[in-house]
This record gives sequence, C-alpha cells and structure tokens, in this order.
Amino acid sequence: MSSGCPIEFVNLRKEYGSFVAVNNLNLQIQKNSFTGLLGPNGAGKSTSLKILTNLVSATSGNVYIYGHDVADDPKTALEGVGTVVETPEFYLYLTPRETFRYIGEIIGMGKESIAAQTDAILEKVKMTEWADAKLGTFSKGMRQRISLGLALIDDPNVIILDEPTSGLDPRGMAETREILKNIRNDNNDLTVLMSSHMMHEVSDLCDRIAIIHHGTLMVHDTFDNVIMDRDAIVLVVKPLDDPEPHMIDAISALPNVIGVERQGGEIHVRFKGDRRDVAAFYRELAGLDFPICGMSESTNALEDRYLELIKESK
Amino acid sequence: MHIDFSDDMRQAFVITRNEIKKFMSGKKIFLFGILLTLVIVLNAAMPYLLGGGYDYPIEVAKNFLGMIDLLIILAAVMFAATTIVSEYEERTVLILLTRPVRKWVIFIGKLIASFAIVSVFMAIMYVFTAVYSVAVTGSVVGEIGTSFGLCLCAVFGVCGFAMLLSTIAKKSSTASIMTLVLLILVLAIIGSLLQEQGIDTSWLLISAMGSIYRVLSGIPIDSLVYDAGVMIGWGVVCTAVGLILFKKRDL
Repeated sequence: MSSGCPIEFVNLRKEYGSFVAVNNLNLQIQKNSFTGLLGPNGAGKSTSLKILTNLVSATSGNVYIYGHDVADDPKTALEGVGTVVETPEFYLYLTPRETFRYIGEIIGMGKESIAAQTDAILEKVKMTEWADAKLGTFSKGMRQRISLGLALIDDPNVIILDEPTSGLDPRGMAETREILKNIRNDNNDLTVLMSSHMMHEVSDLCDRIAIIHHGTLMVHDTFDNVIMDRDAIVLVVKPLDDPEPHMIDAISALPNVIGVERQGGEIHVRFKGDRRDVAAFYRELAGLDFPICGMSESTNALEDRYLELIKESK
Repeated sequence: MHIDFSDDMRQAFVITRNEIKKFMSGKKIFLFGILLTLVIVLNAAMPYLLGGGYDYPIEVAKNFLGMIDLLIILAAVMFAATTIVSEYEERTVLILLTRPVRKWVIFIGKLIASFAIVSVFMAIMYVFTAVYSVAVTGSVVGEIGTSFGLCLCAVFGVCGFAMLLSTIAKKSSTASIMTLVLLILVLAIIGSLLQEQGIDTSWLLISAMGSIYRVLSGIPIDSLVYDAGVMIGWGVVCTAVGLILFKKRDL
C-alpha cells in the first residue's frame, strides 16, 4: 500500500462466529489529522482498532500503518505508534518510571533518552509527583494518564486511542481531554485516530470524523463538513433579556430559518444553510431591535448528525 | 518483512528480565522458597530425628533428590503455567502486544525467564545436597552433575508443557491445575495403562524424568542420552505448538 496515508483499513472484515463485527471497512486516515471514530456500541470501532494494534486478527482484509501490514509485520508497522486501548492494566509491582524504562527498552531506546523522555512525559501528563510510586496504588484516572504518557514515549507520529476516557469519572475525563489537547498542540506532525462514543469529546478534540455502523463506514470527512451535511443545524441565540414572542417572530422571519423555539433563557433556531448563510444570519440577528448577548452553534451538532446517519442506516 | 534477529533477542532479554522481576516481587517465589526449605530441612533432619543418619553419599543424594521431578513440576506450575495467561487475565497484554515486538519474542522471553527461575531453585537443591553430603559423609556422589544436567532437560520439557497450557487457558488457575493434573495424574495413568499392554512408555515426559533419580544408581549412558532427548523433545514440541497458538490468540 502506498497511498501515503498513515493509517489505512482495506476491505477489513472480522467475524465472530455468525456475527460480523467489521464488514468490508475501507478507511484512510489523513496525515496530521485528529480523527474521531464514532459509532454505536457494537459498531466495530474497538474491533477495528484492536486489529490495527495487533491485538486481534482480521478474518480478511488488511490494515496498514505507513504502508506496513500490521498482521504481516507488526514490529515494523507499530514502530513510532503510541497506543491506548481502553484502560490497560500495568505491572503493579513497577513504578511509572520503571514502566517507561521497560517499554523504552523494548522499543530500543537508550537509557539516557528514556530517562529524559520519562521526566518530560510525566510532567506533561501531570504525574511527576508519583514517578516512583508503585502503580498498584494508583486510581483508574492516574493509570490512564500513565497510559497516555506511555503512548508518547519515543515521539510517535501516530497515536491510536480506543475510548481513552472510558470508565473515568468526570474529572478524569476532563484531565484526559486536556492532556490530549496539549499533545495535539505540542506536535503538528502527529496523526491521531481515536474511537469514542462521547460526542462532546469528539467535538472538542477532532478535526475529522469517521462514523461506522454495523462494521461499515458511513461517512468520513472534516468535522465541519460532517456537521453541515445535515437536514438542519441548531443555532443558539441568547437575548440579554428573557425571550419574548416578538423576538421569536423576528428571528423566524430571517432567511433560512426553518424553526424557532424558546428553551429557558435561550432561543434555539433550526437553520438550513451553509457557513456563509450562518454568517449572514448572525449579521442580520445583530441588526434586530433587541440586544443579544450570545450566539453559537449547538454543541449537539455532531450528535444530531450522528443520530440522523444511524437512523438512515436502519 | 524485515527481520532483525539480534534486535528480537535483545527484546526477548528485556522481557525475560522483567518477567524475573515479576517473579521476584510476587508471593509465589516466597511460597516455593518455603516449600524447598521444608524439603531440605526434612531430608537433612529426619533421619537423625529417627535415630539414624547418613553413612554414604548415595543415601544423601537419593533422599534429597528423590522427589526432584515433583519439585520441577510444582515450580513450573507456579511460574511457567501462569506466565502467558496472566498477561491476558490482568490485561497487561494490552501494553505489551501494542508495541513493536513480535509475539514469538514475548513467548521466548517468558520461557527463558520461567526456565531460569525454576533452574535456579533446582540448582539450590543440588548445591545444598552436595554441600550437605560432603559435610556429613565427607564426599558427594559422582553422578550428581549428570543428574543436574538431566534435571535441566526436564525443566525445559516441563516449562514448555506448562507454557503451552498457559497459552490455551483463559485463567491462571486453570492453567496451573491443568499442568499439575496432566503431568502428575493423566500422563501417569496413560503410562501405566500402556505398560500393562506391553507398550513402551519411555517417550513419556514423566517416564524420562525418572532418569534424574535413576542416574544416581548408575544407568547406561545411551539410556541417559535417550531420556535427555525425550525431555528436550517435549520442550521443543510444546514450545513450537505454544508459539503457534500464542500467535493465533486474540485478545
């Protein structure tokens, strides 16, 4: 394979008895993208990523990392790849520093390089304080931070994350997202593929979206294109004062508006149009005769589109 | 596919080192240490407590090493039988298999670690036997070195067998029990049934392991070579089958 894409799924199929978990999946992950792999439970996200990380073998088809077939040559394919699959357990008798040394040595890093990177990475994942404590004493959130740190060892150019916040409490989720954002901001030459079923997480982190259902790819595009390709988007308008009927009427009369409803102190506008239409809408909204203190796109935009797609496929 | 054998062996060594560290930090090593101490103390003290003692080195060797095959099996059950399956059970396999390392390298690294730890325990037993023999009888039986050599062949065979079961089993406890029952009970039953039918059973692992003890009384060299070959053969075949199954094993 020589498409130049860091990650490629080619006609991938995985069967568990009569159940088809992944059905002829073809997907190319763009270089330097942060791609969110979405899908309902049982859609084949985790199975695809486990095949990609050499944990599960495919029934047929192939997965490639920088052109190397993971099944045929996992050692070469997984070089320069950081992974976090679910919440892995660690060797509880080791400390984070010893774990980094172990993995660093397996990868073939020198002692000095391991030591230098361990300190830098532990700082990045905010675990410096616990560098020499036994992992057996760590909470799930702390272990997940160590696992994210391990994915960063030896400066990978591809990171694969399978539901990295699964099972974490809200604080743990927020911390993990923060670390992922920092990882992304710190390295422009990095391709990340992350499976999740948390829309806000994907909205927050990803610039590209791939949605799979019944093991088949339904859509793969930039985040903006995916959410704009809907029957309607929802724009949230916050008037300075409580919404009143005349405000609703005024907004309803604006172009491309197909529905308006009051929700608490906000007005939710169902809108049909592209980015230019949205910009024009905001301009006209500002010209109305009542003060507006906030305008934004609904944070549920991705969820709306996702549900539309899943519904269509049924 | 690019194969860098020296790098693979370097990785196997790293895995071996970590595995030994794992054994050293666990309770099993402590338990087996107690068991070995008990065997040594009983063999050293019991004859004197019963009013007897040791007059000849052969008596010391036969008493101390009389149950060496059982000790090898117990050590393999404790260390080798859990080494692969525990990675799946404890989900640590997620951080190992997702690295650029071949599965056979992981398997070999763990086999070497199991072989090393069981061999060290057996070496302790042999060293103590020799030292004690010299201390109480003034000499040591000449065949003790050959017996230790055969013991190492048996360690390889039994560890290979235990690791094969470790590759198949879903739980550490299952792998341990299966190893123990198959080696001590099932193979023994098969052996005696075959013997009743007049069929040669020298190819069975536990039959060949008997030479570790029999050598102390002196048996022909060609028989020793055959028994050593049987034990190594079991190790090689079980390792090969274990490797294939491990490569095919999914999460």
